[in-house]
Amino acid sequence: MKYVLIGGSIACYGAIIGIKSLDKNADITVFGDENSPLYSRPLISYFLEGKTSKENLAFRGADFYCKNGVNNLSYKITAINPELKTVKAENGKNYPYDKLFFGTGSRPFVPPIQGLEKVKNKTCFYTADDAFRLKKTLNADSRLLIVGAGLIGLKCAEGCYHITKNITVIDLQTRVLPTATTPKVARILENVLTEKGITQRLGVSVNSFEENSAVLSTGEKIPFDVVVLAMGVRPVTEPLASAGALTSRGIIVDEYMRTSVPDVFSAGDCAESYDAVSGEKRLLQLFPSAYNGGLIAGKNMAGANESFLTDVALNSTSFFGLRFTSCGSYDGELIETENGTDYKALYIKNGLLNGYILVGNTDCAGIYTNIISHRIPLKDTDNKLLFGSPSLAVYDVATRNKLLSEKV
Amino acid sequence: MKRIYVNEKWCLGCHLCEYFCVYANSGISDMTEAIKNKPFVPRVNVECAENSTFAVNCRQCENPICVSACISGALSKNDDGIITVDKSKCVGCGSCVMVCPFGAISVDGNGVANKCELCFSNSFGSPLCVTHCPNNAIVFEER
Ligand SMILES: Cc1cc2nc3c(=O)[nH]c(=O)nc-3n(C[C@H](O)[C@H](O)[C@H](O)COP(=O)(O)OP(=O)(O)OC[C@H]3O[C@@H](n4cnc5c(N)ncnc54)[C@H](O)[C@@H]3O)c2cc1C
Repeated sequence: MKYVLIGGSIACYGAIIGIKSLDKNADITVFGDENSPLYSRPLISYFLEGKTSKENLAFRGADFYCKNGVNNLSYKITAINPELKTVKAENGKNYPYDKLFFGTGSRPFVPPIQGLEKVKNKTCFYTADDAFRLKKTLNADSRLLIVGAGLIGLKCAEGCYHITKNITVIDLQTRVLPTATTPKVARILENVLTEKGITQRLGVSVNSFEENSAVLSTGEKIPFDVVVLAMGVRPVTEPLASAGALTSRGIIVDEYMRTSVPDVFSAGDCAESYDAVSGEKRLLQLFPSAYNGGLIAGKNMAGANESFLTDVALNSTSFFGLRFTSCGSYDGELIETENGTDYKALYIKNGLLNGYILVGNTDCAGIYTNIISHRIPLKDTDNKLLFGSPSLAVYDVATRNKLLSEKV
Repeated sequence: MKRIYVNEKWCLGCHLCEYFCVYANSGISDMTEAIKNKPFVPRVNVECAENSTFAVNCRQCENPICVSACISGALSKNDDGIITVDKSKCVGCGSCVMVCPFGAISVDGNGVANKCELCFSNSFGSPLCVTHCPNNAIVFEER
């Protein structure tokens, strides 16, 4: 069986593991168009911070493809022909497939802003190359302006802080992490940034750029040496969309990770898949979703029939040492606990845990995540314990005994 | 593969497993020296339910979701099926803590993932929590 994978990042990595688990001698070719083969994007801020090395960006080792007998070709795929079952690469050649995996992920979104072309030192914060570029251009005196205070913008600020302390973050929204958190938690994080001397200009946008300054919607001018554009990402649906795949915001897949095109599977940032909390198809665009979706797709490409129904939005990181973990949706009755610098919000709706945000103490967060992703009804758990400090003790004795006495 | 299994009925709640765990993984030969006035972050934890206690450590899952959530590649399953942490790769993001359904992984004082590796990589070679459980509430066997 000939497997062709397009992308060469996390979703493809999952797909390779999935295929190999069932088809040891699979003939796998991966096409990718980045300079660094198979690395973990979320590590790029840790790399700037000095918490991980350039070598370790290749999170499964530089020899992963080689060790697994995977053919890796550094060409962009420009067209897919589902009738002939071939993909066309930028070198003009066509490559045949029996099963195709589409894992093209997402690309940073940069809206047209007047004068942007005049800025010499600008970058997105998305690829390993972006991080290498920043490391090269920034020095201790650089004034860094980050446009966008989402997760990527803030992780960029944290990474760059180890090179320069002169950082301004701006966002159109009136708080940091506008989509990933609530106003209350945003305030906590904003205080952390303020303590570090990171300037935040919220509720303002960039009207135009000059070579070394940004003119804000307030008329104010912010001078800078380097600009990072971190205004969000958009799924890459081409060239599969042109080949006839159903799309909405991303490529639509069913719970088996099949696209509407026969023998073509997809997962990761480019795909809209089933979200266990809303019960709807959604772009999740997270590392575990890409890996796990890819894994299921890979297994199904190799003949299995597994569905993926436990995916949820979830994220764990820290900002300047303050731990932050969240999951699900912030929809429902709010149960809030504050204990010194620790903050916890649980969201409950129709007898189910829908989401949580933990700041500071994130111990045993997985107990909550499991209850959310498996839609375990709260009538089956000890909720005094659950809302206090989560552990296996929230389950009844029989469930617990089963969990602790059987192979899992 | 041999794994750790827990029989809640027999647990006395003595927490000896936790002490022997910290000792086993300290690299220090004297137990008092290994534990006294040091950060206490065991890889096995005695949890309290209503009228009962039980120990929890990594279940060495067949399909470990901690490994699939690990953004740094620090967590992996070795050839013996044991899920191990490469501390030099871990960036302390806590993604494993976020997904472990047993609550069996923590982040230690150095900001890296801390979990039971069945004592295979320390000088004892087999789980000390099991050897020192006074009531056989923790066992290490093939099931
Ligand atoms: C700074 C940063 C921090 C992050 N932190 C976290 C985090 O803490 N937790 C988390 O869960 N997620 C995080 N993410 C998100 C996470 O990195 C993504 O969800 C994940 O990388 C998605 O993997 P993917 O394989 O779907 O796509 P991508 O990683 O986007 O990779 C797709 C690849 O396909 C290539 N490609 C596209 N089109 C073609 C084509 N036609 N031919 C060949 N190749 C093509 C692209 O160049 C790219 O290399 C972070 C992202 C960034 C940028």
